Amino acid sequence: MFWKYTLFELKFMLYNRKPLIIGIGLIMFFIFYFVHLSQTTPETIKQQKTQEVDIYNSTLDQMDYQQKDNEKAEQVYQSLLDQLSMVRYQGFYYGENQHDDYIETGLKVNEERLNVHELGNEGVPEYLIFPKEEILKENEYLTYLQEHNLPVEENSYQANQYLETAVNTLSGLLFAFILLLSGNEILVYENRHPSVMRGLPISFLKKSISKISVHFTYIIVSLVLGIVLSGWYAAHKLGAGNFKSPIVIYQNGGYEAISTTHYLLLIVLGFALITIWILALSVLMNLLFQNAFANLVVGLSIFLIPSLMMAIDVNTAIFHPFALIDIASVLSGSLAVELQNPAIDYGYAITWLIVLIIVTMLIVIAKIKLEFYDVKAIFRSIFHQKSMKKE
Amino acid sequence: MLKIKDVSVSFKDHTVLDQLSLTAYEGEIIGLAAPNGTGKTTLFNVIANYLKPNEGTVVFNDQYEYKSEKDEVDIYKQLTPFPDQGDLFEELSGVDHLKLYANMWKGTSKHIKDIIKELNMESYVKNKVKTYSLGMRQRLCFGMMAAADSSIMLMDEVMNGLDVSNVALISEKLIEMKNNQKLMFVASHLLENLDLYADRVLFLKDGKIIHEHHIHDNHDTFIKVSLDPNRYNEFKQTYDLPEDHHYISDRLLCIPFSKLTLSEQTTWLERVIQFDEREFEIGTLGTLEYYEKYYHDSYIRK
Repeated sequence: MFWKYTLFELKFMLYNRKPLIIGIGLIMFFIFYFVHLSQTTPETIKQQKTQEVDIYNSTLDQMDYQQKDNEKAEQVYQSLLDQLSMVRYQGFYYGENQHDDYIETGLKVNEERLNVHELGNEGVPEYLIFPKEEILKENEYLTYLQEHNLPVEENSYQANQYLETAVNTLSGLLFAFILLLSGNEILVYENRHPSVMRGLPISFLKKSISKISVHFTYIIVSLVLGIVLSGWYAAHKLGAGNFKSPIVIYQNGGYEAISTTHYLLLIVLGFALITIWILALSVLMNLLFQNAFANLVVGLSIFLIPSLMMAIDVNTAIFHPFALIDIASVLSGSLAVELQNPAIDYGYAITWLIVLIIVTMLIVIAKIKLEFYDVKAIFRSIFHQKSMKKE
Repeated sequence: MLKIKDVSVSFKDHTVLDQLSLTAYEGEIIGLAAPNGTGKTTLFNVIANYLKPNEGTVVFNDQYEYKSEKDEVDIYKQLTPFPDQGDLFEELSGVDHLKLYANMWKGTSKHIKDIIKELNMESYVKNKVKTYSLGMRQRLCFGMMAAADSSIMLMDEVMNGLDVSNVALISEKLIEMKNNQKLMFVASHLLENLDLYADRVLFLKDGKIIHEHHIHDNHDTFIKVSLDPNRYNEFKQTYDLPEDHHYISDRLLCIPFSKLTLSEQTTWLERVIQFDEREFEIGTLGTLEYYEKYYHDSYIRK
């Protein structure tokens, strides 16, 4: 029965233009995003190193005017001088294709940068301090290159780097909006065909799972198609790049480098769970509000709660799971920093998303079960019994 | 078997169904005759649990009530409400609709070919519903019920939009389904048509069943004469009419016939012939006559 019903839902979806438009839109997002990116020029490693040199010069200049009357400030100054020299060398090594030396020197620079942090960045203007997270990330990145004997890759929009940028851009409210749009009539459309759909001999849970499965399938298929087609297009235009190149993610309170392929798999798995959760949420909101527009407005409001609360300096952990829809920020660690919750990493997000799916479906089941009981009468009888006992 | 026990439904101060009780059995067609707004659709909605009654219960096969979702699904496996033609999916074909109902109730759609043939739908059933006329849609809705082939069917205005030949076709099919032990509730405004296939017709008024017309057990014949109110009064003054006579819709006098002795029958026939030269008829009272009797004020003849 479940499969027969699912086949009908699938058939109905094929004739319905909305999923088709959303699916094509999702695929076209990747293509258009590549076209847009390929018209811009990414910052080269040489430019990055020149910028770093400028920052060091500026820091050292400012420190020259200060009294270095304590030992720590002197040590910091010396370290910065060493770092400046090493960063210059890095630029040279990169130009000469001496990648091993580039990496080796980069690791030494980071060691010194961490040393400066241990010295409390004494005398360094706050706006010129290298953030510790960035140092740790770069360390992981360079170590991964060294361990896997990989070359340093120039910043570009070759397929591997483009796909990382594209999925990161899609992650968050944009993807949530697409899902809410897809699910905004997941039940409500039946209201336009009540006498045909209402008396079908299938439980609400099975019906919901069937609808979620159908929506999930077309969204994930579109997403994967978008990634594959745009990746192929980017590879055709600018080259495939190296999918073994590292991307640094935040994990277990620290940073870890993984390959681009691994990263894309993690993102797609995250997207898959987010899709299931938002579709389940759409079923619940359709059930509660019976309105397609409410699905969008209420859904987006839920996801904006953590940011809005932070804006008014209220940081409550209870709202943090709603921010997990931005799986790219979870992976980069920026969400953990933004919400000041070091526990937020990929494992935390996946666990919470599974919990949210289960809780949402349990609420849906409870809502349906309660429709068979006169809740007011039950409460009335409980209060009546209590008052009788008191008397 | 379906038992409706003391069902009451009220909307604010308006009582639509008032302590209504009814038992219906397999192999029975129950007609519902009442003007719009007298509770036919409400009764169907209560039977299908689309509407919760303020009081009372509906019991299926002495076993199932709408106490949980599981019970509801178990009941729905035996019950099919009639789809409204306005609710069909415009972009899907008739075959898609038939397959949905066949698969959901029977778990297979092998039998829909026969239904398509029986209901003469071959020429259009593969096209999208948006291209159908009213009659085509109505036949499809009936076809969906036939495809579901459940043991209980609720048919609200099943003959809507059908021409004479299709009314006859559906009537035949209803009789065939009744012979297959289906229990069917048929609400229809084609009152004379109900007499063809229904076993009993229920007349609803003020939330209650005011009359139950058993078509096959209806052996009482009447002399039926068309008389306007003036002629009726004149007739009444001239002859002492029996107490159980009917004067329906200010137009039809019905004098009990089968209960009378042969000499009394002859006497009344002579009186009618003498009084009125127009044609008269001897026969049982049909659904139409009862309808006019109970709903004369609100009845608009179709």
